[in-house]
Amino acid sequence: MRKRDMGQFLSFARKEFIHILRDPRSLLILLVMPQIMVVVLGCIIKNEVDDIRVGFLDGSHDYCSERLTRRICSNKHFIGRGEIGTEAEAAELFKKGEIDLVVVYGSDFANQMLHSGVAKLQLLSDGSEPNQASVRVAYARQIIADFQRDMFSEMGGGQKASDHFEINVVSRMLFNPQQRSELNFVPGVVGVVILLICCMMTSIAIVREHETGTMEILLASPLPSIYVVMAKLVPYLIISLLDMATILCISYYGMGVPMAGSLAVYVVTASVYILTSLMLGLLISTVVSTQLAAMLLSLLLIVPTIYLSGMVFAIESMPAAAQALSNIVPAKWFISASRKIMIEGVGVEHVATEIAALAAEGLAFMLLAWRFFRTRLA
Amino acid sequence: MREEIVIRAEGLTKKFGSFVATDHITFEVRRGEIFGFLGANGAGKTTAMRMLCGLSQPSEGRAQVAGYDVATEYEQVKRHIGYMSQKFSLYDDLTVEENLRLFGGIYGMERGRVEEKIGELLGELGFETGRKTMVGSLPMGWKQKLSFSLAIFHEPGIVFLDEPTGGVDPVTRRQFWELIYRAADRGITVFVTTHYMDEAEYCDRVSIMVDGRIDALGTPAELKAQFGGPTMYEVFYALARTAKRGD
Repeated sequence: MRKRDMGQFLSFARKEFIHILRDPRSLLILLVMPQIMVVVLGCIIKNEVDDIRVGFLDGSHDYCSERLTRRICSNKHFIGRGEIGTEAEAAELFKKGEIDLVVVYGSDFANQMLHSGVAKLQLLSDGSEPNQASVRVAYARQIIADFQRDMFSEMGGGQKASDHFEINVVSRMLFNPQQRSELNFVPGVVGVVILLICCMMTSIAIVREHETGTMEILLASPLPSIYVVMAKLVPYLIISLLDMATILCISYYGMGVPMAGSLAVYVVTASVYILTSLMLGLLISTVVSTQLAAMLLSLLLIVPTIYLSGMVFAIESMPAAAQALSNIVPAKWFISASRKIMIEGVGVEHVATEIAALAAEGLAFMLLAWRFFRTRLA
Repeated sequence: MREEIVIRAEGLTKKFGSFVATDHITFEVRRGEIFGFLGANGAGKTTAMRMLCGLSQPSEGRAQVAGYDVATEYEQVKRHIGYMSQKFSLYDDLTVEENLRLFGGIYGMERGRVEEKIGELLGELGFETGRKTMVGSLPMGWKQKLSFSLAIFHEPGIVFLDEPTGGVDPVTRRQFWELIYRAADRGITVFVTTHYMDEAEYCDRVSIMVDGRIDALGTPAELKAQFGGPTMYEVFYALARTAKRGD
């Protein structure tokens, strides 16, 4: 972009912000409603994550496992309930509701960790309360990760590659093998809010220019038409990022929703999703000619998003046709990826499929939108 | 004085499928002229004008505006013209000053020059007090005058006005035409479409389009002599009656 074009672009983007800031209804939808949605949903779905009663199934009884046990018990969220003999005994305690989490150490824990480099550890939780269970597991994972880090630095910081070791944590929910979790609500709300802002508000904003006739004037100006469209997207991009940040803060600090994985990976995934949604909004704006039609079409897209994205119903339990259909819903990929990052705490390589799917859809929307846009102008 | 041609159309044509909206029109407009572009609804005026503004590609023929080809150098064409559409087209939720700044910015004008121009323009219109008024709360007449001022804000050589006075009262129309004269006096070429035949009389030359073709072209006096009518209304009516296309 040349310097002169940049100035033109910026003066146009500034105007878009003024439109939003001067319209109380837009402001309410863009910057108040998303946060209220999270708080309301968060109150309905309670996450009581304190006083987690934790038992230990320790076949090793070595220096490392006992140290980790002490560490978990001394954490303010956990109450140690001592040793458990067998897994059957653990299941019995879960059924009686006397325990919330069981840590199962693999055999020869310390030795495995220090010599072969991989130690096994299992977390058993009560799947009949999937929501709380996920939070409990996430807390335990954080303590384990800290422990691993401390051990590592005690061992001398890993000058040699062979010093590297990790604790392989597997979490299993008893009584709910599908691992259906109500904890989806934060990924889900972010998914829907972004769709609402990027698709509905953006398409309305573009179509409004057509309706009022200002688009003609803009197209007759030397500002290249691609900048006109891009400048309209900028404020919604910024607002979406802002909403994502505030929702994360509210849910993390206010409601104890975990961020087990990397925040950076989450932000990257969300940014790709935001861009894809913006392209979808752009596409909508090129096929309708009134603001009302833009709103209806956006809503038509948001409803399947709620049902097919796995936000409300588990995708695994849907009929095959619905499962196939869910693959074209961008929110499905976003929600799946954010659940993996926030709750399971996986690394970027495990969400690569989701990110790639989102990016591919975004690209497809962009090409289609560009095509329709060109036809409309000719 | 040398007469410089600033708009030249040769066989300019636009087809939408089998429908020929603008049918091989040929004309020239000279610098500083007020050129009236007349025709009934659906005669092809707006299509022709959109091609001249670089908003639409011609199917056949060619046209030069301000020395640039509309089909290939449309970005340059856009830089050198002003455009005011039928629809009122300022932003209601921006103040007068903000609207002017926005368009100054879009046309890539220097910041200092924009501020200077805003002062000049509001002074000329006698509208200094309205600087910070929201455009949405202005009366229609003012909005129209501002739209025109905006179209020539970046000091283009040519300004295209598409039915600029639709829906305003005769007094405001009269004031509006005073603005047009003032612009023409400064050397800006004015290309205007209108439905009002009294406005046609204000033009230096007019063309009348029927079914996509230009059926008459000349000064109002010449056309009245040629078609034997006392006013432009009779001339227009005589021609428009021959149209085959419906509205």
